[in-house]
Amino acid sequence: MTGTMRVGSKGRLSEAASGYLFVAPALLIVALLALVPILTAMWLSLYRHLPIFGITEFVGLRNYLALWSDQRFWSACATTLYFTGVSVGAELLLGLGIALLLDQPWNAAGKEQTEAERWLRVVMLIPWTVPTVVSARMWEWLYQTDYGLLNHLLMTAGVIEGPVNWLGHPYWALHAAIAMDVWKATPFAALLLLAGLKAIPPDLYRAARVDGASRWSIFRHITLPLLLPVMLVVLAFRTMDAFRVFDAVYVLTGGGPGNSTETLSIYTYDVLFQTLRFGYGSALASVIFAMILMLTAASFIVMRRRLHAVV
Amino acid sequence: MTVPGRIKRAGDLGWRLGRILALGLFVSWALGPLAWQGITSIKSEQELVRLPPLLPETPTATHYRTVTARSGLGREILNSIIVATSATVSAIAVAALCAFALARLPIAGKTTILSLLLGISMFPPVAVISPLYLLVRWLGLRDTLAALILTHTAYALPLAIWVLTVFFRQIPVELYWAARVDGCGPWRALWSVLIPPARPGLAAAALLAFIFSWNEFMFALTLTATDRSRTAPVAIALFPSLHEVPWGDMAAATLVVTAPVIALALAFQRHLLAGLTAGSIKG
Amino acid sequence: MAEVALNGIGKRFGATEVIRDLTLSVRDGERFALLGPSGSGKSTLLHLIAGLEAPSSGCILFDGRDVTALQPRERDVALVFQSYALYPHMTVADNLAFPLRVAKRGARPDRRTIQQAVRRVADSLGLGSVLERRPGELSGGQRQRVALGRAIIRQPAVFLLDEPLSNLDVQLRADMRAELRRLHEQLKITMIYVTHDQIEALTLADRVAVLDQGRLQQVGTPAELYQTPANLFVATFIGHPAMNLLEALLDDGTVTSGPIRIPLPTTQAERLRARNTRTVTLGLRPEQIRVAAWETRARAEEDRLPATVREIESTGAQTWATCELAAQNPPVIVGLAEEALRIKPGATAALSFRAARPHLFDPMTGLRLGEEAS
Repeated sequence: MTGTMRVGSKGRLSEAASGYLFVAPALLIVALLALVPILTAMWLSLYRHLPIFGITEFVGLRNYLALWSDQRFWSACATTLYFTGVSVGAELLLGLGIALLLDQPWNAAGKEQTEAERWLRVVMLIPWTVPTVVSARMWEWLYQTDYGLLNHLLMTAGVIEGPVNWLGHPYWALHAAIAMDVWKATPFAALLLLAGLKAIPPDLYRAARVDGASRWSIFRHITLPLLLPVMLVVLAFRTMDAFRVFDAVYVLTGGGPGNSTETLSIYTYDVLFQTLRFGYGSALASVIFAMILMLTAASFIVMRRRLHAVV
Repeated sequence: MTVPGRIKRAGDLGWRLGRILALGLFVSWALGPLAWQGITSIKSEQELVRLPPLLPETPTATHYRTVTARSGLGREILNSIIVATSATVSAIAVAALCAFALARLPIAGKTTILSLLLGISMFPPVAVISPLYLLVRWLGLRDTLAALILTHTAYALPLAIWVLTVFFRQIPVELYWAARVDGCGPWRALWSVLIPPARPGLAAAALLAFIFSWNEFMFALTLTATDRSRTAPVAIALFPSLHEVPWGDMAAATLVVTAPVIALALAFQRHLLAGLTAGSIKG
Repeated sequence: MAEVALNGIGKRFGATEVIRDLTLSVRDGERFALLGPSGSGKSTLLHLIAGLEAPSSGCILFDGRDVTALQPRERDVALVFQSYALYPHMTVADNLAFPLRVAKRGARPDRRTIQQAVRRVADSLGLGSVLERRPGELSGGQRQRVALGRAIIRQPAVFLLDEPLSNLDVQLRADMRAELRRLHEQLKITMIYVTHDQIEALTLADRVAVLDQGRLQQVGTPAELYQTPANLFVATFIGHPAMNLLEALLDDGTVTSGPIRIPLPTTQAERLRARNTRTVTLGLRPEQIRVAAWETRARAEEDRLPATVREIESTGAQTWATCELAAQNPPVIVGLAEEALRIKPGATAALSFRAARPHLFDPMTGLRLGEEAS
């Protein structure tokens, strides 16, 4: 047909104009329903806003100062950090183990997956698809003191003498929540790590074997370093998610017993919808956001540096 | 990790047995809780409170009957279906358009847009709730499905756009150029030439969006008030309105609510896996 | 340095038999090529020698010692992969040092020794200036030299290479060929390499083994393979352009194919007398057929056959003419053109035959007739 590309002729929009038109709906929706509320929340944090009393007064950074001396905030902080650290750590380790387990050797036909492996990947995926709320209820039943399966199994195995009230015990409740989160989120880590493992050219393993490396040497010098980029991606995303955890813990323990499992999000929710202090609650939220930003930025910076070293 | 072509030796037998054992542990860990839930859901009331035996002697379907009755979860599940489907369709439509532009069209500020989307997805939903609630109320959409559909669409967009951008970038640019040379404008090119090869990516993004919407809890909790618009996860969370939790009914309910997503995951696992891995190949 | 012997090697992957009953031996310090088309099993064979795979049957001996059950790290071999398989996250220096660093506890050299070895190998291969770079920053030729360096740093007994020249452009190939010869000279090592390119095999090896579909076709020096191919496969695989194969009949001391008549040397004719069928396949290499312009005066006592020129292919030094000879099966023959400029497509040319000892093959079995196959 035409030998030249006459873009912008015959009344057709230029490419760039079309481009802006195409991104407009998405940006509009996101702006209206996400960006505006976020900015509103930040703006609200500068106010003392109690709608039921009709109070709205500008207080500047007072909310943030109050935050600084809020014991419950710091406690929630500690809980959240502990939750995040242990969860993500466990997910990475377990995920790596599962990925290694599922990584089948390439057979001579060069097929990348056997039937068994495909099914195992589906099995792996199922915990991730379960709604967090459902997962919480499910684990609540498992943790149930009198009729829960966990107590039953542990007593039968002789590990404990009598039933333990997992969710009623401050120390154990938090770990119960962590275990539940790990169950649900490990597939994500395992999946990504499996993809990372498959990206390593098999010739590298062969070369290492011929060079005389033992199984452990191969793992340490070849597999791990080459997996590092993926591990960092997993770390970044899971940290972001774990830090904001709400659904599962809220349904499982409601933040209790006492405040022992109260994460930052749960505390914020409480402030907003139980005590209805929208200004303070928004300040809380903004602080959480800032913390996530810093954590993510830190992990991205580490990632960049490491990636340059590897690639 | 099994190294390619490993020679089979006597010592390797130990590895293989260990591996099978580990696989068994893994499968029971992954599916165990759900299986237990399934067993629980068919136990009669008396058997629920007795352990052992683990398996029900007289399986019963009462829990399922209770749960699927019209007054039970039925309404909420229907709401979930409507919300998830609508949100998915609109999210994918909008995201595909945007992703295509980000992948192939010469617009300024691509990294800014993508970073903005990433930033938004990092914000704790807890905080957005209050302004969003106020916005929804101001629009007169409180306790409607429309509010949820709009919200879910908006919050599914960042991930959908990321995943679709990756997929669009993977389609050879020559296809787009060929379409332009043949006389298509960008819209026509997208529709006729680029959507077909992008179908796996669209499927993947759609699955991710659907699962997100189906499982979404916080917005569903705060933006709805009655059965009129409540979705399944909220129903599950609010289930025990009495003092004693009806565990059998609860088990049945959780399985009923989870079954659709698991079925979807099984049916489209390849797409789902592709989508998850693509979503992490960021930058 | 080691002598490598393969006895009755068979290898199957699932139901597919990739290598069948293969027996050959490589002499100590020899340069040995495994030549064959893709899918002939040659890379698999290399992996078997290295110990990356175990044979389904048969055994492998190094200097008479049975190594079949040994892992690669216990065999003291080195393998240079077609993809080079350089560790992308390590520097060139670390890549070179890797085999020394992962050696078993007792045999591991100390840091200084390793550093010296790395220096030595790098200098001998011209890599001194790139030691701190990563593979991704190197050129193809440099990468290959790193792969070579990593292979020789341990001074292994057997040196295996998988398609060493196929990734390089023509000029680099010549350089690398020289480099490999030099290394071999210097290290006096047994070198076995795999290739699908006959030029690579014939120019670099002392002896060549030709494989097709997992079966050994012939083993011999390049000259032997070229001059006395043991069967049709070897005859057509080696030599470019390929040997012409014609249906022919034996006729008491002469072999005839259509209008072509070629007398056989007496020894050959004697051996064939005992044969009951008279049909044979006649093989003539293009250079055994001369194509001249019809107008050129014939040399005396030479049978000339008229043929129509179809195509001319010139490689600079030589020109090959594809001609059509009526009443011939197959009708197309490739021969060496004399006076290249006077022969044009469509013109009539004169074919004459310079085949003192023509190649004869049994049409059924494909095996060479009338001579001892090597």
